[in-house]
Amino acid sequence: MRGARRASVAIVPVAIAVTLMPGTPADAAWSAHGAGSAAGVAMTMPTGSTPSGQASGSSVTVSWASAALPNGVAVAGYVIRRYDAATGAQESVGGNCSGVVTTTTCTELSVPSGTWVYTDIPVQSNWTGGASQKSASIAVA
Amino acid sequence: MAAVCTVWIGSSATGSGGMALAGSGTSGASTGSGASSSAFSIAGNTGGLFPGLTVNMTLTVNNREHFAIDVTSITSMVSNGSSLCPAANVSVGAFSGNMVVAAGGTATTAVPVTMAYSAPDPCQGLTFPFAYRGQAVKA
Repeated sequence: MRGARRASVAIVPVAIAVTLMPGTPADAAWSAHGAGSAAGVAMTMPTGSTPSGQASGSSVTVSWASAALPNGVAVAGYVIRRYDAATGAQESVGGNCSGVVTTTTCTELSVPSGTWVYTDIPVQSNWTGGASQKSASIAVA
Repeated sequence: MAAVCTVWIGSSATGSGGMALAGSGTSGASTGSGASSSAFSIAGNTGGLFPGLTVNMTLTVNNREHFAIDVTSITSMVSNGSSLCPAANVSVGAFSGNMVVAAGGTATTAVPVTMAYSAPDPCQGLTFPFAYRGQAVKA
């Protein structure tokens, strides 16, 4: 043990001098990592506004107000749905109101006789917003 | 005048009253003489993500050192928003260049954050954690 201590003392003169002056090789070698964490938050789709409707013969023109994302950008389109006012059953929507409607009005043609209500649902790409309240009843003779 | 620190090689190098010193080599996340283990922090949040939209997110670098640093790169890793909305739906651009940050100061840069147009409906309203990692040298 004592021998080992003597050995280490013997190599004490072997030292590394670290110089802290600017512009030295030590400064040039300085590098470091930084880190941090945060987050990105996705928006949510708006709910559609309550539509209004007007029957003309077997056609029904449905209109609604534009819906916007939280950043104020109008949504890309709307899906229109029609329900039987008495039973609440959803029916297939035809004519210009099927699929994604990119305006804020459409006219469904050849609507069967009955009393109907409509809703509009904002859509953006694969995202779907909340369905609006149902419109007032619209009678088609 | 140069300040000289000497590291002794031998059994007495870490005795009582010894000093902590980062010599040439690696010490934690930093390398080089006098480097600390966390030289700078990176922060930046964004909202307003929706399918197909790119927003610019401001990243703020806070230099904890007592000398100016030059941040040369910042990369980000995105974590899943949920099991139904994986991280692949959001991408964060990298910073590469030279951003000098004064001693103890802050500096900012902007990187793009994009949500894929095909992001599924369950991505709505989710929070996507970002983890940043940057590299800097002495300015």
